[in-house]
Amino acid sequence: MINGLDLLKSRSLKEKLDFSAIEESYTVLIPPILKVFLNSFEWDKILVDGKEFHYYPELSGGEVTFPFTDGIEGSLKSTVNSSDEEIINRKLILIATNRYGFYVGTLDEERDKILTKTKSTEGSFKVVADNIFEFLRGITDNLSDVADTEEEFRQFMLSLGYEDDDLEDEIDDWKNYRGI
Amino acid sequence: MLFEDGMFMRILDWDAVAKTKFLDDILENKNLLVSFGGNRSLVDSWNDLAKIGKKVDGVPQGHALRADTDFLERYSKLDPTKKVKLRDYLDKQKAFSGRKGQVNYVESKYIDGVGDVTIRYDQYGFPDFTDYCPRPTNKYILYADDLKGTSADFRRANQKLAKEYGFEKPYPKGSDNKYLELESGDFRWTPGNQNFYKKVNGEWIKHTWHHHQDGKTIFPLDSRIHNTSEPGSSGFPHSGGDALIKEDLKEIFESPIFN
Repeated sequence: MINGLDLLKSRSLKEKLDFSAIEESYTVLIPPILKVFLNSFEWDKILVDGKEFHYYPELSGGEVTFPFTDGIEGSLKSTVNSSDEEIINRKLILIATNRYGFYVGTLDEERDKILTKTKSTEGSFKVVADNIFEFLRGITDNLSDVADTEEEFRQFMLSLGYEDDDLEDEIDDWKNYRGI
Repeated sequence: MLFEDGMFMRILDWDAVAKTKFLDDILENKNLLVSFGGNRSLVDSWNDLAKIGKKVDGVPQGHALRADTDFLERYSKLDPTKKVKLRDYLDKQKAFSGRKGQVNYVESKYIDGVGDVTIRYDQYGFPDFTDYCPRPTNKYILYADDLKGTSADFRRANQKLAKEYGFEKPYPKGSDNKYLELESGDFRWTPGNQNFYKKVNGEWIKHTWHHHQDGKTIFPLDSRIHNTSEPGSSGFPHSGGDALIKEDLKEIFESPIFN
């Protein structure tokens, strides 16, 4: 099983990112932990490009991709070009996509927090991780490994809204995967 | 007619903001007053929908649906719990930037990799994505009375579509016991995933399932148009039918018509 932190490579000491120029250009202040992350790591493109993952603590938005392997500017462009007033007003930086997106907060108490939604109605952006490192720790390429027992997996699928035959099918699949 | 049956006293009880807004509305749309007739439940419904929506200086601007007497009629017949839920939904209803609480408008934007896209938001403020559902539509659309408003619906829709392409359960697995990606013609899907890919002009395009606001229909469209979380530029913001299903508010809004 690949964890989100496995998708990173350390960034060369020779590379210096000019955050102030980027911030000025997009009028968004990049929060401190995200700066540390960007300065220290880069995505391992072989593991990330075109690949889909799951964010185990919050699965309602579906498969997660990391499209911004070329730097933070793509993320910031998404913020300023958004058609969603809430994203623009809250200056949320898109770092990973799924149905609702995973964003890094930039303002006040939201700084560095990772936010997403569980439904499409407004005002429901909620914090799912304290910072990008904690978020990446919850990324997995194999959901079947999130539970150790059948009951644990059942509760997990129930929390996703599965029931009746759908639920039993998923549990059968999981048992098959685990060789139970 | 408006003043029959104690209605005048009812309106007198409203706060100043509601009274002013009501006066503005009936001056702008004189038919509204005629439509209300002596029906006090319509006036109460108007008042409910005038108290929601975007706030300016702390004052809610109301939802444009308050001028739609057909909708007010439907709303007035809901039980009190459903009224509260629907009001809450409409209060939070997503809209294109700057359009909160509005209905019947058209927005266009350039979407990376797609081009210029124009979407009409309908008489209830929902985007009309029907033109972007792949054709033939009957291959892609899932109509069901028992949608759950959760990812289980996507599973069901994907399985129906996979069947259209000749894939039946049990789906094949690799040596590590994980599902293999299924591919046939212009369809690609990994069982368990919410999205599928469709080949369009030689390129694999991610498609997202859209819960229509009727609560009984889901259909797919290019994720870059549907989602506001795609890179480069975002799609068209909207509140989906999933939340309506979860709140037991199915069939308040009409089903889509695919031309």
